[in-house]
Amino acid sequence: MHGSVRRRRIIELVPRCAATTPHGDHRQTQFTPQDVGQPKAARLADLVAARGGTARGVVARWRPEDADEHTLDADLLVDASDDPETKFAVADWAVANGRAYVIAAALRYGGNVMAGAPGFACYRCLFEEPGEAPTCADAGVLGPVVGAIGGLAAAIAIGLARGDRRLAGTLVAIDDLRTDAPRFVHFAPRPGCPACARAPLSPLSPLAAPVRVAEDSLTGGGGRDA
Amino acid sequence: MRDEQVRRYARHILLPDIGGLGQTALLVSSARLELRERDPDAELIAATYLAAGGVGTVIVRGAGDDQLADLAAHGPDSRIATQPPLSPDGRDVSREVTLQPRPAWWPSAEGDATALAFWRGGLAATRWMAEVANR
Repeated sequence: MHGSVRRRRIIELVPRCAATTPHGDHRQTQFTPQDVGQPKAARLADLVAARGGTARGVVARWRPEDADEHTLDADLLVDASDDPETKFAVADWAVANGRAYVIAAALRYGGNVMAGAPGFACYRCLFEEPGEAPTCADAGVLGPVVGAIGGLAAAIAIGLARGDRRLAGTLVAIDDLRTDAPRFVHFAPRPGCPACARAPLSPLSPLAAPVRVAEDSLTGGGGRDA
Repeated sequence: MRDEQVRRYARHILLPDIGGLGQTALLVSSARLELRERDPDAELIAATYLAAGGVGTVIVRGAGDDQLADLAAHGPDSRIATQPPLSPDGRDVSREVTLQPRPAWWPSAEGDATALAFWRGGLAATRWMAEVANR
């Protein structure tokens, strides 16, 4: 179950803001007011290096047409953008290239994390098309909600990078961290999904993993967390 | 609130359960944590989010000078201390931040200690801030 991670690299996904801002610090505590104006990707790569990791910051907006250049040697993609178009593009690229991926989002008091891997239902199977969605600049977010959702996304990403597929094809949703426990929603691949049709290992193929469709099977039915 | 504070905490002020009054309540509030010898990361992460979120006083018992300086760098509107402020009649007016243990559902993986600390610290700070802003 525990494979090795082939390379360690950071690709910063920057759909809206490339540099740190004074009003962003309350939710992004990896940066301090002293970092204002610095490119986030470069600063984050420095922080990873200071912790003994290997990282490279790419100061660019992630676009499908440039994805091969930045991403082809990555085993796993993690999207933390606030832009539905980017989330779909990252997931579609990962599916088409047989990579595991994590798509994370936080808004107001809650958030969700989707885990994907070859042979399992994908982000587009569930959400179909990018829609209009408010950003945290439009609708607000409590700063530490971003940290909690980010921690959950990181744990799921670490599991996927080590070959653990228990959460592949699962959306972990927390509507309100103040009161709710996570719901683990395993969903089925959608027949006709255009992303899965381009996948090297389609979840609709007889070779794919058995379809699991259940909610809360890992939580025993939900309820407030510990 | 000053103009730069309104800009800094705009994403909090937009929240219907917080607004300007709730953020003002946070700016005059006091939070209290204690660093345990074993795995203080979650407590420090909670304290960082509280300071960055504009909590007026963040008391971290057992914190060293480097940890206090790091917290101060994140909280331009926060006073970081190791002892609570006392009311005129000598009472500790700070409110404790409670961290929960690792939840049973946590998707454990080797090497995820920092990720878990962010979950636990973020969750504790979320619940503390929401409660104080709504009082």
